[in-house]
Parts: sequence; structure tokens; C-alpha cells
Amino acid sequence: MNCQSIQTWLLQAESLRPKAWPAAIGKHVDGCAACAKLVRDLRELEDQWREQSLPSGAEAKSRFLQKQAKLDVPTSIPMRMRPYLKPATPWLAAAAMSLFAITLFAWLSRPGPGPGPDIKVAATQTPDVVDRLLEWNLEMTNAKPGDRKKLLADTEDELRKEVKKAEPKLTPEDRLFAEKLIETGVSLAELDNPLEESERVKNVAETLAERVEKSDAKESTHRQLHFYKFMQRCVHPLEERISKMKPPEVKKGGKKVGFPFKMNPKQFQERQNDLRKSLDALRKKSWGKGFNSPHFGKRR
Amino acid sequence: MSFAGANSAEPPDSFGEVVEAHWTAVYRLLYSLTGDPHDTDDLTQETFLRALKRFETFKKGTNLRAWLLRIGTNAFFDVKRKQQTLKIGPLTEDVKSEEKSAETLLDLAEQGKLVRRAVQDLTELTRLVFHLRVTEELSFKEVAEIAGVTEVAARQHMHQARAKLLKRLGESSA
Ligand SMILES: [Zn+2]
Repeated sequence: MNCQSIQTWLLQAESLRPKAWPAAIGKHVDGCAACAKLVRDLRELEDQWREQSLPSGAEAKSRFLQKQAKLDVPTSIPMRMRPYLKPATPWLAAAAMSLFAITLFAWLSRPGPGPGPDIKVAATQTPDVVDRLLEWNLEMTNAKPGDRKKLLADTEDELRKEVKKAEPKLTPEDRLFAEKLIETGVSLAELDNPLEESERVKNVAETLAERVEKSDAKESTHRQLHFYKFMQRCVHPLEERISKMKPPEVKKGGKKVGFPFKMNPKQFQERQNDLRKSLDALRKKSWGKGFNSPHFGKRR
Repeated sequence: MSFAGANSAEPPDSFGEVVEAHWTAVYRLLYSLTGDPHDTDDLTQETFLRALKRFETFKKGTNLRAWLLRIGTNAFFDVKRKQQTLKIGPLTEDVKSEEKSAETLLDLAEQGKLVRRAVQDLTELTRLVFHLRVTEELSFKEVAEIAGVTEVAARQHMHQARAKLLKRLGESSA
């Protein structure tokens, strides 16, 4: 194969990771400066697109959630919608609105827990106690390190009791997971360093990802939500804290300041990079094949 | 009337959780397409309202985020078809991200500006394919399904995006 055909192949390659390529391509790229440069440039380009600072739409999200929470029956046209989003005729708008009202009413009047501050619907397969423990871990990681001990003191006993009570009904998988969540929550109260915390948190995230992969169709949606929620409210903020950490300074006389561990700047940076890499791999794994199924995208 | 049909998904405990977990991804996709924060706000809301209404059609065990991204993409193209006045403008450059520190924001703004300018010159479909593949890391098969094209076409759009962007960026750095 010549450079031109290799480069055409690379430009439409799904992955820019050599592991995903046929051996012949990898071999050529290794020995060819021009093709290796193309791969580097492509990676850099994609990194730049991924890392650009786009808005997250947090304000619009809060408005949307508030509207939902008030059960202020939303129409299919958000309030501030531009004219181009409005249906062409008023009767269409009315029809869309009543269809939506009926749908929402049907959803809300299903048997099961009534509407809380958010729209609560059918019971899921995951036992409540696992949900509670996960939420507790999230609260723990989001609390300031100084407040965690108090939070632990206020909640630990009650949670342990709940687990004990629910135990006979838990599957072995859920029981082990519940134990892990308690253990993680307790250890988080003792820690005040993002690097240490992330080891614990990574472990929980990995288990959540495994649970998604192992789940049957009934559990899958709920477990995906667990995972996304955990990544969003726990792993991502932690990554952010890790990226903001400054390496320890070594002052005259060899005294280290600005960092609670006995690490030199090089060790610190290595650890920081390792953690970033493993969290990133986890994210990729979950967004990649693990969460997809052969049914995906079949046109209805 | 029940939502729990044999082949349909049980809505999750709370639709709020779906919103929390996927809002940003949908928002960023639509922002990449429209380049306008107000249009993006509107379209993201529209996407989640559509998802709420159709939750019973979501297939259990499939990729929820990809499903939402498809609804978002359809919402964008629906609006485009209805009204050609939707301005596909340059991506606003001075937007603040709540998730980056001030320092990284500066660096990224500089690097990102060039890429963003180059990306906005791609066609919407090419831009969509590039964003979904790069940011969401979906396979070409999934990208194709969201974009409503064949897998081969999705690859061609990616080819075009990469080649054009490298050329543009090469020119601006020269
Ligand atoms: Zn070559």
C-alpha cells in the first residue's frame, strides 16, 4: 500500500488508535514520517474539538426542570420558542398540547408512588436501598471534606440498618454492591485529597459500568442512569478538582509545601496522569460498545 | 393506558434524572449545529419534551444518550426544513463554560477558536458526523443512524471533515 491509500484510509478511520487498525496500516505508519504526522495532526484536531469550552446549557436545564417540577404542564412548544418552532396552524398547536396533556396525565396517574418534587413513576428492578446508598455516596463526595464526618455520623447507622433489613431480598450481586457503597462512603469521610478519593470513586464507577454490561433489558435503563449520574455528579467534578491540583513545591532545605503527601512533583504528575487516563478509559468504555445493543437505531 | 408494553421501555424513576444525565450532551450537539445559544436553549427543551412524550418508544437495553441525540438531530432538521430562517451562525466564541477553570479556559479559547471557525464552514451534516464521532465517540454505525445516512456516507463525511479541517488549520498556522 502506498502513502496515498493509507492516508485515505486514515482520514475515514473510525479510531485513531493504532490498536484498532489492521496490522499493515500500523506497520506503515510506524515507518513513515508523513503518515505518522497525519495521525498526530488528526489526534490533535480531535482533542481540540473535544476540549473546546462549549456552554453546557445549565441555566436552560434548571428552567426546564423547574417547569417539570411544578407540573406546570409543558406544551410541546417551550415558552420562549422562536416563531420557527411553532406549528404552522393554531389547531396543530392545540392538538399537540392536548396530546401532551393526555400523555402526561396517563403517566402521572399510573399506579405507584405519586408525583414528588420530580416526576416519579414506576418502580424499577433496582432495590431502593442500592439507590439510597448510591445517592449517599454522591452526597458524601460533594460535601466539603470537613463536613463529611458529620454527614457520616448522621447517616451511617440508619443506612446500615436499612441494608440489614433489605438483605434477605437482595441478590448476591446487589448485596456485594451495597457493602462496597457503605465501605466507600465511610472511607470518603476520612479523606480530603482528590487523588485518594478518586481511587475509591473509580472503583464504584467501574462496578456501575459492569452492572450495566451485565444487566438484562429490564434493568438496563435504570442502571445506565445510575452510571451517568455517578459520572456526572461524582467522577467529573473529581476530575476537575484533580486537574486543578498544583504539584508540590519543594522549598529550600528540601521541605515540601502545598501538598499533603510525601510525593515529589514528578511522582505527583505521574499519579495525576494515570488517574486521568483511567477515568477517561472508563468514560470511553461506557460510551462505546458497552452500552449499545444490536437493537439500537432501528427505524420505527 | 399503560406504558409498560412488552417491547417498550419502562420510564425511569424520574425524567429529571434523564435530563440531568444527558442535557449537556444534547445541548452541545445542538450548539455545534446552530451556533446560537438561544436557538440551542429552545431546541434542547424541544428535544427533551419530545423524549418525554415518546418515552414509551424507547427500546429497553439500548443506548439512551444516542436515542436522545437522534431526537435532537431530528428536531434541528425539522426546524430547518420548516423555516429556512434559522440562522446557522458562527459558534459564539465568548461563551463561558461552567466546567473549566479560568486558566484552562484561556488556553482552550485560543486553541479552540481556530478549530471552531473551521468547523463552522463544514456543512451541517458533515459537522454533525464529526461532532458525534469525536465528542460522543459513537461508532459510524450509530452516527449513521442518528444522521439518517448510510454508514459509508458517514465515513465519507468524516473523511471530508478531517481533510478540510486539517487543510484550513494548516493554512491558518502557516
Ligand atoms: Zn506513508
